[in-house]
Amino acid sequence: MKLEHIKFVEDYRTDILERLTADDFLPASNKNEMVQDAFQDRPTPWSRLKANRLALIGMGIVIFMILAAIFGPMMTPFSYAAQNLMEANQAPSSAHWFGTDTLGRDLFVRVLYGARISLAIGFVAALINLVIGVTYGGIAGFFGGAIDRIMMSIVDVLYGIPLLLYVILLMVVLGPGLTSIFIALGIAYWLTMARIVRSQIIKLKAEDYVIAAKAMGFSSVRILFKHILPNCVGPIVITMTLAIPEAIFTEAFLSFIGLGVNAPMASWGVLASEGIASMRSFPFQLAFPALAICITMLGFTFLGDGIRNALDPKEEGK
Amino acid sequence: MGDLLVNIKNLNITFKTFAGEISPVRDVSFQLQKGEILGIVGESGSGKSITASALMGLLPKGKTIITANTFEVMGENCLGDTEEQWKSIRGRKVAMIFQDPMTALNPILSIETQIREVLDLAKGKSSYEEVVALLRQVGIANPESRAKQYPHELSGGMRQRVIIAMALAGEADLLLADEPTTALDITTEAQILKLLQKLCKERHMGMIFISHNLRVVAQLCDRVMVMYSGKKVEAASVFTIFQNPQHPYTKALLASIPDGKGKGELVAIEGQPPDLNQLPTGCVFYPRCNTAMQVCANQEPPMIDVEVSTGNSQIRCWLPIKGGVL
Amino acid sequence: MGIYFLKRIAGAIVVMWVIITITFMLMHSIPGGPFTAEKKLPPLVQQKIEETYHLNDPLFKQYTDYMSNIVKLDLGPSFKYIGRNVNDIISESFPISAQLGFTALLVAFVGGVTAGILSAMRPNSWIDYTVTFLSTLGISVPTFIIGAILVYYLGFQLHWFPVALWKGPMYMILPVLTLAANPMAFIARLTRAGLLEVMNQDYIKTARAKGLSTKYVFLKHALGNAILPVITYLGPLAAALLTGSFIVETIFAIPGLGQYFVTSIYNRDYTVILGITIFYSGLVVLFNLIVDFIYPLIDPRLVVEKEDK
Repeated sequence: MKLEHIKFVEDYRTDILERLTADDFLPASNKNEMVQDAFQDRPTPWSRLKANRLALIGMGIVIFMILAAIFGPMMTPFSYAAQNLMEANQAPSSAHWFGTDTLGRDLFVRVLYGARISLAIGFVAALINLVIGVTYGGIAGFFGGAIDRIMMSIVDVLYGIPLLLYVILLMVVLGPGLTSIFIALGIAYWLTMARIVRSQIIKLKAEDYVIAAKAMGFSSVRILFKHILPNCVGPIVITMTLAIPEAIFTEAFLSFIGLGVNAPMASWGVLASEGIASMRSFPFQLAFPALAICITMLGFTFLGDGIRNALDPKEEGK
Repeated sequence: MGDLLVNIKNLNITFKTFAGEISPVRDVSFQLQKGEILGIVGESGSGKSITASALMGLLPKGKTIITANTFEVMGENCLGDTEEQWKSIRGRKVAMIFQDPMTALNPILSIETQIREVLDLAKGKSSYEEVVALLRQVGIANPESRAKQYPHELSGGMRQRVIIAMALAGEADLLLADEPTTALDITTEAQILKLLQKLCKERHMGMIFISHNLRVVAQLCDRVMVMYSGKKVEAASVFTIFQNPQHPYTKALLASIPDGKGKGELVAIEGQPPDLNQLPTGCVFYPRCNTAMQVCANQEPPMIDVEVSTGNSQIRCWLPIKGGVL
Repeated sequence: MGIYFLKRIAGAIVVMWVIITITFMLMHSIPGGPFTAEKKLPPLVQQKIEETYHLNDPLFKQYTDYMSNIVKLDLGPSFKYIGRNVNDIISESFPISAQLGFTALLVAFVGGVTAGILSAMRPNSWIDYTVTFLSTLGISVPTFIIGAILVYYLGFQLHWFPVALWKGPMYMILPVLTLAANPMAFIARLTRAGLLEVMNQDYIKTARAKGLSTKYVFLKHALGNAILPVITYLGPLAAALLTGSFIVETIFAIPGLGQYFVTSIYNRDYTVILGITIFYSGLVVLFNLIVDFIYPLIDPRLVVEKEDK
């Protein structure tokens, strides 16, 4: 190898140089194998969610609670309304896993039943919020212009009202009971969803690919269903995941004030309020429903945080 | 120090990530003289911004490992400097301007406040008049009222001028410009480039200009270093790079610039830069190189000094040696 | 800037008007009406109410009368307590609630922001984990449960604090903590998230490149921007403290307006319920207005959209 006239900027391993032959400088033949696809598998939101342990725990809790609510009461011999005054205020035992309340009702089945009520309230209220909010925000965002301005001015005004007060007022007017709760919660809290859906639609309308679709002649309806709505799912899901615990919270609050469901139906809120009254002497009567509420809330919070992180492209792994 | 503002030899930068260690900058060497403008060119991910950030110690401390045989900035060895030591040269000896003027200024502080921060650090005191004078120097009209305004009241081009003013306020001798015109429209870009050129020459500053835009680099720089996937692949005077590119990557880059005459196809380089977690053995450009040889797949090429008609060129490639063998 | 303020004030007035109207409509939609003889009111009260409310007038006149009463700040008499006006009830018990509320506001704000700062300054440290854990708990556990736990452990078991009434600083500690817990946790999360996001912004890089010290960059550049969402939250915070006070005052037997409100709900004392509702709503509107005035002092961009909390 005649390398004297080659000027190396830095020292290079002479052993490697010495081993080179003319064959090494033939054109490469196996290049195609080496062309790598630099697009690694982009993490999908689902995979990011799965990687978040807290979110998985949250999801597990939520699913567990739902299952407990649906199947739990079938698995115990006691009814949630059966009173047995002789067995009142008994501490947890093998017969009554959670003990009994002041009227001798089995607390375990009441907590399970409470799960049904509280979760049902949570989901139904969130669903009503969803329907009203998505429709309202969808119309405002999609049509834009004066319609949007008027509709959003209404929302702005309503936003200035302390909604919980008016939920209370509605409950007073409608009278206590499950339906009243559904109505009151559903009517009061759709504002956030409406705003989010509307701003998402507006943002999407301005995106290049939507404008491109329009330029290519696709009808508005098709654009709406194929391009815009699917991309709204993310923020909608996040809002719903946070709306459910808020509804459960609010119901517990209402129960505490005495505006919840009617006895003997018991939501967790009702159970907790009853428990507080006898807290000093029988703390377990508060402890179990309180634990149920807290664990479920935590579950939804973890899940909600996790979903938000998974859908937000700016979040990198912590 | 003489006139050597930057003297880097065999710089390696490694990041510790949860996926392991990756090295976005490997074995890079370059120098910068006072009054000289060096362009660092490469695609996204070539490591050029990281190199510049390293020159100011701006890489995240706990996660970065920097090694080099020589790492001198403004005549001082800065390898292993602490945050305190870096702070003493930031703004005052070395200044940096970033890519996106829309987000580079704090939205809740006035222009005057943000410039005076630099002046206070450099000189211990500052005044409104100095701020106005600086703004005038960078070509902002009505500097008296602009100084009192907030960033959102200024256009992108004006904000970039403010950022340049901040860089000058500390009277640094070395300016690092990380794609300062990429986010601007063409007319504004031209103005900013002219401004940078003028200021550099007036103040006899050295500047490192990072860009992926060859046209801009051609207008502004004295010398050019081409980086690919963390490696330096070619370095030469700007004239040589454009008239006599030696490295296959540089040639491909130049070929992909539309010649503006409306004829011919758009040429793109096939493939993608390699994943830093799975670097190939041998030359890093091998998978995309049209003139690759067997040895390129197996051995990392050496850095060779090549003489061409217009000057010297440093390239990291096996091709010149092929000439020596056959 | 002046236009901004005018718009805000006009908005507040509109909201108040809507509030009063809705309240009025609800009042008159209670089944059977709140004023019917079926309620078996004492005749004196019945008489006073008919005088005040002119129940035989057409609805629209009742409405305008009611409005003008409100503007005169007269909220009408109570059903339950003969001879007592809603105004009297409010002026007696509100000061106590105000004490509770303001103290809780301070605690929540200062505590939450501090916790958020400490947490963001050292991400993934034990401080960060503790703050994150506690704040997640704080927003997941309903206020009355926090109150109950504090009462049970710190009051009953350990006898550290009194658990009822409102007679001095010691009496304030548990109720304030209970009321502030939820908002404080929320503010801590908000501050922390805001700081972490701001620290990744370009202008922070610029600030560091200028040679400014880390502490200075954090406090002047980062915090100033990160606090904005917290300021926005102050409005809903007021509403939350308000409704939270119902629970806290009930649990701790504090003779404040919140407890009165809860009692009046139980008693179905309609005029009191409605009067206090309007009063509270007015407070919230006023507070939101104040926040709207404070916000531009910090953020010169006058970002008035309060979406995406």
